[in-house]
Amino acid sequence: MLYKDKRPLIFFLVPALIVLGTFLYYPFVKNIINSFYEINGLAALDGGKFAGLQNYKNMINDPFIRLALKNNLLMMGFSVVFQVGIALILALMVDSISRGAQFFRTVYFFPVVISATAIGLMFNLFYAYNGGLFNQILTRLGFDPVLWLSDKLGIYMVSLPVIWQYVGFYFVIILTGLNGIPEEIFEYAVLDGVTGIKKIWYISLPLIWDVIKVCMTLAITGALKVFDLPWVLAPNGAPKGLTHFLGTYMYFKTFISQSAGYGAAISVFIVILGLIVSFTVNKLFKRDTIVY
Amino acid sequence: MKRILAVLILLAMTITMFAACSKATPADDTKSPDSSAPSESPANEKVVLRTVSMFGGTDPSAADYQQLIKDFTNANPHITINDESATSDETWKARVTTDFSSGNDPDVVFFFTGADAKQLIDANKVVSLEEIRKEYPDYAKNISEAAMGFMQEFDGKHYAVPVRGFYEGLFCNTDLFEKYNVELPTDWEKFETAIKKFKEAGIVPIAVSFSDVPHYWIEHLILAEGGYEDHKLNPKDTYPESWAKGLSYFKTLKDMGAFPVDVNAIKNDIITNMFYDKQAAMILDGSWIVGGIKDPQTTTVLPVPPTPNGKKDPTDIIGGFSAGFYISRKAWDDPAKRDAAVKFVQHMTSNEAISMFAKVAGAPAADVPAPGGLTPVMEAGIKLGGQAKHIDMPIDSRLNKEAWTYLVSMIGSIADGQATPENVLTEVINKNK
Repeated sequence: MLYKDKRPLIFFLVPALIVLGTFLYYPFVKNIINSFYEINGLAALDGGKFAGLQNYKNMINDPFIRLALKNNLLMMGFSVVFQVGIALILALMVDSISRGAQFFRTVYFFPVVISATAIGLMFNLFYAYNGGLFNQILTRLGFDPVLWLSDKLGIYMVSLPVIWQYVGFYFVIILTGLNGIPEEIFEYAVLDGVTGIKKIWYISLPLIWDVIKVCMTLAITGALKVFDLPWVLAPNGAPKGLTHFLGTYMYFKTFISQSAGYGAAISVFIVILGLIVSFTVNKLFKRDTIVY
Repeated sequence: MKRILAVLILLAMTITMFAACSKATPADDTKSPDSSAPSESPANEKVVLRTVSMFGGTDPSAADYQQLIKDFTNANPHITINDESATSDETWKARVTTDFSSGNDPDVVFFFTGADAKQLIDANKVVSLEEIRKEYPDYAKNISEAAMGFMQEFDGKHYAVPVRGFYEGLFCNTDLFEKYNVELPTDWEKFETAIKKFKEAGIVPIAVSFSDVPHYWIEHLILAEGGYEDHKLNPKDTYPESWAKGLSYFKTLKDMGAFPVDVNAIKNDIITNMFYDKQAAMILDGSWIVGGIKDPQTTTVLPVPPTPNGKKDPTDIIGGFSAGFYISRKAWDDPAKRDAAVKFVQHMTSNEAISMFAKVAGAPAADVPAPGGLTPVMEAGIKLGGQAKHIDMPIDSRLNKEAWTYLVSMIGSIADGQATPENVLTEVINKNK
C-alpha cells in the first residue's frame, strides 16, 4: 500500500461526506419529516402544519396515485421486454457480423446521448393530430389521422420514446458482454456441431446472464425514476392525467399544485417502492455466476 | 514528502469548499439598516440586482422591457441588472416561488398578486408599499388609485406596483368569419352558429388546450352563466349552482365539435399558433397575445357572450391589474441594494415606462396619454375595457393553488362526461378550505 498510516485518508473522505450529507442525506431526512406536514405553497418556510399520517392516508384514496403506480409497473414490464429484449436481439445480431459492427454500435447508441427534452419535443411534434409527422404519413397513405395521445393510446405513446431512447444503452452493455466471451469456446462449439440458435441458447446467453441480469435490474429500477421525457411530451399527465408516473405526479403535486407536504409523501413512497423492487429483482435474478 | 503533499492537497480542497459554501447571500453578512441611517448607497458603489419578470419570450412587452433596462443601466452605470425574464406559465410561477423558498430570492420581481402572492407575503418575502413609502414617500405615487385598488392584498396592504392592466376576451379571426359568411359571436346563438359553420368548413372553431391552459374558459363560462356576482365569489363551504352549470358547457361545446380533436393533449403554444396561422377561428385569451398576432388588421376581440340563461351582462369581462413589481425583503434589508432596487422599480413604473408597457397590450396603470398608432385589435381591446359594466379578476386569484390546479386538471374529464361538474366542484371546495 502507498501509505502505512491510513489516517490522512479520512481527511480526503470527509469533504465528499459533507457534500453528500448536505445535498443528499439532509434533504432526504427533511423530506421524510415534511411528508408528515401539511405544507401549502413552496415559500411556506415555517414548515407547515403537522398532519401526522394524513398525507399517506390521502395517497391511499388518490386515484391518480393508483394510476401512476400502474403506469410505472407497466413501464417496468415494457423496459424488460422491449428495452432489454430488443437490445439483446440487436446485440446478438451485431455480434455475429464481421463488418460494420462499429457503425451499428454508434447508430443504436446515438439516442442515449440526445437530451430527453429534445426527444420529448420531437415526439410531441410527431404525435400532433394536425400536421404531426405520423398523421402526415398516414394521410399520404390514404388513412385517417389518429389521435395518438388519446385516453387509450396515451400511455403507450408516452412509453414508446422512453423505451426507444434506452435500447442503445442496454445494447452496448450486452454487446460488450458478448465480446468478452473467449473465441475458443465458440470454436469448440463449432467442432461439436453447435451453430446458429443453439450456439446462442446454450453458449452466449448463459455466459452473459450476469450482464442481462444487470440490464434488467437497471431497466426495472430506471422505470421507477422515469420523469423528464414524459413530462416534456405530455405535461401534467396529458391527456387528463392518464399518463402520470409517480415521478411526474410527485412533481405536479409539489410544484404545480404546490402541496409540498403531499409531494414529499409521494417521494417517500417512491423510495420505499424502489427499495422493494430492487430487493425483489435481486432475489429473483439470483443465479450462480458462470466463470470462464 | 508524500504525506506533506497529501495534507497540502487536503487543505486546498477544504479551503476551496468552505470558500464556496461561505459565499452566502449578501444579506447574511450585512446588518439591517438602521432606520435613522441614510438608506442611499454610495453613488460609486457597484451594485448587482437580480431581476425576474414575465416580460420574456413571446410577451409583447419583452423588447420594451429590455430597452428600459438598458436605459436604466445607462443612467446608473454603477448598477448591473442580471435579468431572468421568461414567459409566464404555471412552471414559471413555481420556479419563482421555489427561488424564494430556497433562499435564492430575486431582488426585484414582476409577479402575480392574489393567491400567487399570498405565500410570499405570509413568509415575509416581499416588502409592502406602506413600508417602502416611510423612506421613499414618492414611491409609486404616479400609479392611479383604480389600478392600486386591484393590488390590495388579503392583509389590506399593497405590495406590487402595476404597470399595465390586462383584459381577457374572445379573439376572432375576422377574415375567416367573412370568408365563411359567419356573424361575429356577439350573443350565444351566434356563438353556437359560428362553431357549427366552422366545424363544417374544417376550421377549428375554438383553439384551446385542456391539458395546458383551459383557465380562461373556466372563468368565462362561470362568468357567462353566473354573472359578475357569482363569479367574484371565493367558495369555501358550498359552490354556487351557476358554477356547475357554467362548467357543464364544456361538454356541450365539446359535443358540438368546438375544440381541436387533441384538446386534451395539445400544448398551448401550438394552440396559439393555430389561431395566429388562421387554422382556428377563435381563441379566448388575454391581452398579452396581441403582440404575437401576425395579422392585427383582421383580428378583433369581443366579450364572451352570456349563456342562454346566464346572468352575465354582455359587456362584463375579466381583467384588471393582476401583477406588479415587488421588492424582495432580502434586497430591502441589504443597504447596498435597497436604493438600487427602489430606483429600478421607480424607473420601470415611471409614466414613460407605463406608456411603453400599455401601448401593446392592456390599460395603463397611471394617468398617461392614450397611445397612438393602435391596430384594430388593440383598439377593440381598449374598447372592451371601456365599455365593460363589470371587470372582475380571474378566479385563480382567489382559489387556493391546490383547489385551482385540481379544477384545471379535471376539465378534460368534465368535457368528456367522465366527471360531473358537481363532483369536481365539491372536491374543489374541500381543497379550498
